[in-house]
Amino acid sequence: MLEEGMTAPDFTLDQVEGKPITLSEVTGQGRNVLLIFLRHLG
Amino acid sequence: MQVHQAKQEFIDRDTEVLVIGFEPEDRALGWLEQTGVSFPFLLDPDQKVYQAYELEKSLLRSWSPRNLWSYVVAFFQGREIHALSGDPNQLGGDFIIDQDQKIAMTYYSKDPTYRPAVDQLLEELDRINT
Repeated sequence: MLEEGMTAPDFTLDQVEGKPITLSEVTGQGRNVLLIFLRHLG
Repeated sequence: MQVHQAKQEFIDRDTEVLVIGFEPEDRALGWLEQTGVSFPFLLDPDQKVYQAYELEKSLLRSWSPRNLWSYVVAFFQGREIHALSGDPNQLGGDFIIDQDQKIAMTYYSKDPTYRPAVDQLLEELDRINT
């Protein structure tokens, strides 16, 4: 398990009906990020 | 209050909320329509990012006794066992990442029905923003 204080793994993923998003680009804009990983959608 | 209803609260705390799923885009679109979630929904079909965040797969934790039983019954009846549309064993989780790309909070889901309360998340964001 990852822990507080560690660097969050960077990634680029396609967005549904939108442009790809890269984590480091979002934080680089001075924003925090809340990542919500879903289980299967049911 | 659910996370998606608290959207302004996250904006006020300079926080981008990103939802990540591993199922196909059409399933994601259906889910977005059903739930009314308006945050970006990112697609991770081969679960590479799930793995990078060390989100585990747990056969025991995510299958209820009823799920397992119906599969056993189907097997013995010789029926075709059609897979669920997603990977039922993939567990989820929540992470708060600060502006320096450091992890500020982790939550590894043990119970499919439980996630951190929005208040807890907002408190954590207030803490890292000071």
